[in-house]
Amino acid sequence: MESENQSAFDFPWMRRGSGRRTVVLAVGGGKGGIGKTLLTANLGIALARSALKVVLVDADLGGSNLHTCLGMELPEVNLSDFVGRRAERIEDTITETGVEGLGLISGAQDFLGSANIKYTQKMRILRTILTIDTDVVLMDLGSGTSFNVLDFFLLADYGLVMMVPEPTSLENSYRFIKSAFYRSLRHREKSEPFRKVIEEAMEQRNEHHIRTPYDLIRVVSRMDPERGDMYRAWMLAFRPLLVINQVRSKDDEELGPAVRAACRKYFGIDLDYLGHIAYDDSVWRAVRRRTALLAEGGESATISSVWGIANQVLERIRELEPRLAQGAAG
Amino acid sequence: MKDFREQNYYELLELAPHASQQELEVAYQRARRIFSPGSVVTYALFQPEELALLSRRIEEAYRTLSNLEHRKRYDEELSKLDGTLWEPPPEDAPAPGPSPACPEAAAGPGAAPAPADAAAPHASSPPPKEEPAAPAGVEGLPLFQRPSSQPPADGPAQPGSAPALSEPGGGTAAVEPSAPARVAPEPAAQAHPASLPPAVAPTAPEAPPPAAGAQPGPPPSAAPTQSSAPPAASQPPPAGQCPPPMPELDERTVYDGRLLRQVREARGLDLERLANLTKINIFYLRRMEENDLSQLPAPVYVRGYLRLLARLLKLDADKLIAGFDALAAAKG
Repeated sequence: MESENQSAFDFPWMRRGSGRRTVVLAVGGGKGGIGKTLLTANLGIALARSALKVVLVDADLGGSNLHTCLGMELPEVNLSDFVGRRAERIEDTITETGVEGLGLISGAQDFLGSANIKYTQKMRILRTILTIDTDVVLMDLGSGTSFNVLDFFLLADYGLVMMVPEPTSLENSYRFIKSAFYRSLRHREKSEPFRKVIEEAMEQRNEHHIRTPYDLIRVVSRMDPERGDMYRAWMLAFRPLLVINQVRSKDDEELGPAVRAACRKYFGIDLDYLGHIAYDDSVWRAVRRRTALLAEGGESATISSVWGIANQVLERIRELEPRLAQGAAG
Repeated sequence: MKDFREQNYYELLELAPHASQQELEVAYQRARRIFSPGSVVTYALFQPEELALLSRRIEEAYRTLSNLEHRKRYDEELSKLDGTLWEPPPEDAPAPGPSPACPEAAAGPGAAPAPADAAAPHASSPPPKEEPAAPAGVEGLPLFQRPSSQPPADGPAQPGSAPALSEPGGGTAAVEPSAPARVAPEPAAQAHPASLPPAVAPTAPEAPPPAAGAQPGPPPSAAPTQSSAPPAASQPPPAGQCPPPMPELDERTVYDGRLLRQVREARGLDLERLANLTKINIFYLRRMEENDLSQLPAPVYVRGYLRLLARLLKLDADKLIAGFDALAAAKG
């Protein structure tokens, strides 16, 4: 609603314009190999089939392969052309995917070891992504909790955290959620002493013994009670979406609500649980054939649960941008 | 949202204050499953001693709430801390009617018809509602908290919706509090009746795990600030002290933060009570009333807040949202 210009960057909460704008989504989750790219590709197809114009962005800068999940050859243009200024506009790097309404900006393949892009380059990409002329931008993120990954995640109106029912995945996702929240505070906070406290909280061992966002807010509240209120408000507004992938059993199905309850209890962060994706053989068959699951058609438990997630995402997109309410999913 | 050490029994089990015994049973079994030692969901989060403490508190919560006699006593203690959420449900949402001493206060457009005993905190005939009122304990979170988007097993009550309480028998593993060394002390404006067991003093940041004893305090949405009014101010104005008149609502009315404040005051609500009822952070409520949009969350959340406020204050939600959109356009 009001622009806040002190920041070097325009995160969603700083974008206050009430005019038309692109809805940005990101799929992250800390750990590699849990199906982020597959979900991104299929979610993109589902949204495009729901009459939205969608641009997928392969933001897994070190190991991009979103095109493979869509059954495409390596696109001739990609993000490096934009970063290296061989392409003037980011739109010039969009490749058709063969699905109507769905474009792809392929990840950088060659430049600078990619995952280590410079700060200024990252900022330029982030800023430009927001300007892409489309209904929805859907980004596939790399693994880990580096600032690059977190900043792409925080760029999104809706950041989706993915988990699979394995202890290592849960552990990484919790770390991802906590890191993203601290990073968002760090972006919002303008006062140096408080920034220091946040940075301290990001370290495993720290002077104030901060282990959770609750601890951090307690420390900040003692220094400045009104600021503590503000942090609490930010905590309430921080609501990553949660999807559990590769669900094979009844027990696994209960994982989502349990993870949500645990995060609420421990971090004070209330995830918005969208549902789970059932695992069946249709997934690896599609991967082997290098086609996207939803592009093949047919029916399977996985396909119907991906549609379930897509419909949940659609609801939220329309909540944010009511003008996108035409067109039915399914 | 509160640290589990500071949550009351209802918050611990994520139960609404008026939950039935059956709901209690389900919530308890669920909490046990999720927070039992060895649970795959919690092992990466909680330290073993934290999990042990949490399990103990869940057991205590269940023991107390499953015994009708104990639950009644516990509820009474809770309501001493903050009556708002422990009133019978119909009183939770609508604004309190005008006190009998100020009958003209009901004359404003859109004012709810005032029952004769509207000023009584537990009025037996609640004012009729235009639409389902905001259920206590559910509406506080941003828009996407709607039950429709939640799996049924994980919906009912949200933590952070109820007042904090230093519950009897809680906090068994309290550590010795030490004085905060590097930072300012906690604000002293926290209210808890003397009849309740003393709370553990604020834990020093240096103390390894925070003290197990609960720190009493208002819910986070109404956390005390140095400048905030004392807790007594969260009650509706007493009889004889008239709230300001309800502003006229017509086509010239500007729907903005000033109007929100006027209507709120005309309905005899102070900010803290409104924060309690809506679970909207008091910080945001204040900014909205000041027409300061720079510190608010994403517009989609603000629209949710406005819709909720409109429902509570009996204003036209679409006009209110349009008013704030216009404000944003003017400022942006």
